[in-house]
Amino acid sequence: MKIFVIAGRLIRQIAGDKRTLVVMLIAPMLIMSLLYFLLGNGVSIAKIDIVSDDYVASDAMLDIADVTLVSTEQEAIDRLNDGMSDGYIFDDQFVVEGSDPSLTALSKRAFMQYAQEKNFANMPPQFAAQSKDMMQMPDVVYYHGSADFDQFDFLAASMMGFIIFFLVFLLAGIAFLRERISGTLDRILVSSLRRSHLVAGYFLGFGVFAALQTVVIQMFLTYVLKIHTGTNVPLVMLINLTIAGTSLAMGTLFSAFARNEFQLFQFIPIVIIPQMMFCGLISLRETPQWVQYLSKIFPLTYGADALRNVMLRGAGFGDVLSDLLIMLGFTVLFFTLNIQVLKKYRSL
Amino acid sequence: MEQFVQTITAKGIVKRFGSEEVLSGVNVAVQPGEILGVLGPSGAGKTTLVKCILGTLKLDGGTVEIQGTHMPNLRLMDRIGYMAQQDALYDDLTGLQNLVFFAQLKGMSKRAAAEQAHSLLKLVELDRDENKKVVNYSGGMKRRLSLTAALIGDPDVIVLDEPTVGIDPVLRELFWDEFKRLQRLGRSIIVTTHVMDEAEKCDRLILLRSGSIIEDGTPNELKAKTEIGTLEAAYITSAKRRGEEGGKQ
Repeated sequence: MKIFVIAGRLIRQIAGDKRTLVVMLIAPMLIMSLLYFLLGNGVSIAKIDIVSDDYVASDAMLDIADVTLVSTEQEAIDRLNDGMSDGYIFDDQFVVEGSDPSLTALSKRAFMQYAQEKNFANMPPQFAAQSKDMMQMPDVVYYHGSADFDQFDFLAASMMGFIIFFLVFLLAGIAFLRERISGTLDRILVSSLRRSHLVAGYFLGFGVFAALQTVVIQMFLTYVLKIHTGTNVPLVMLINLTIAGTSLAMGTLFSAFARNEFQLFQFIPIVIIPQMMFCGLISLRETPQWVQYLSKIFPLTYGADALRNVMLRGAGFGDVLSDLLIMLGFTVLFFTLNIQVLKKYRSL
Repeated sequence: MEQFVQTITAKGIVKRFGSEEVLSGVNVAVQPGEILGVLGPSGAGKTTLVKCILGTLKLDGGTVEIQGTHMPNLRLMDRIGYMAQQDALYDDLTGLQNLVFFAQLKGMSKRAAAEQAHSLLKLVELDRDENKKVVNYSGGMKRRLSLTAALIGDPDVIVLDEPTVGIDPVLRELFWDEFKRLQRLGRSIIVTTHVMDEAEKCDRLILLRSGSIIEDGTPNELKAKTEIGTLEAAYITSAKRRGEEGGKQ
């Protein structure tokens, strides 16, 4: 089978190229680690200044704010300007720095705590105790996930899909492009090799490394970063391979419309960046309708959705079947288009 | 009785790129054991002609038959060896790996491919470098490997597009010795060139200009058409004559 001849050659080429191996296997671990430390240790405490000389912060306050006492409002303003605090309290005035919405939200939480405590202090003790009881957070049951999920636990699934998509797109696209530029495509088509077998050989050859890559990423997430990757390891791998297949079909097709590597990179803002935005890193829930429709034309939307459902919500094969089928549809479409485009190189 | 079965018969080939007609009704016939030289200035349509014969370009008119079978035909593709102007090799594989890969695509088993690759590499004096990656080859070594890649699988039809461009005279001599050897084995060879002393070595020449054949004959026949009696003179004379005719129209 000539598919295996093509695949065998690709495997030999990739295995002999250390840089490609590093990009495929080491780079995802690096990106995941960085995200883990950046997102997993996000800011959770506001820096609040209070103009007072006798304020004593309660334990509840210390949980959410880092309180500094200052002696004048001017000092608080100066510290705000220097970035040493996120907001300050001066008598009944609550001032927040205001440029970073997440810090604003944290500051407001501290302001609320401060205001409540002040109110309780002014109440008769029995009312205060009653009010405090009423403000208790009820017990929350986690249907999926758990209390110690941080932002990275949620985003890791989407990021894994994106990294696989991006790297396979680039590497397979460039490999196919080189075949055109160097003239080897002309040469290998002067043989009884079918155009479809050529592209299928690429699927098989890159598929081996995509499988290796997904195993490495899954192991790294589970055992090194110790984040929640679900229990269905084979299903996650199947989804990742489907993502890799779609990406390979796209990359090899788009390489036909580039004369050199640089022109292939020019597709990144159009083809890759929107997929990153739509793969679940940013919630689309409150976006305009047309944005949601737009997200549906990008294959990774479905792949990332399936990964999140399996890794975070314990979904099974049946739950993600429609996502898988849609991606398969994209793959077949791009594959067929590519074979048509290859007619430019051999009419038969 | 017809003595010679034509290996390659191309009739009335027309090829257009957009509105530009690159080939306008070209006829080519090559017999077994014959070297046909396709001569012409750059831009005359030499590469387009060979790609049309190979079946890698879709014809806009005319027919091509190889060994009596209408082209393009997938099975016959394995009987053709092609060397392009570009080296068309995989830099990150060794010389031997390149050859075995191309041979396997032609349907050879891995073992037979390796065996034939060894003997071809010996022929072009690359046997000592067969396990080096092509990226470390010199320009001349790549040219030699490119030639063997066209010859692997023992093709009956060998199409060589400017095979000796940019190589030194010693290597050119080696290449032509090889072409003559293949000719004696009964292969049909098409060589494009714009070098006159190479054209002398062909059995028959066609002169291509602006997509049409302006002369067709043996080197001696073409020489006889001019008083000076060199091929170069013949080439320039016929090109000029055509130019004047074109001017009169």
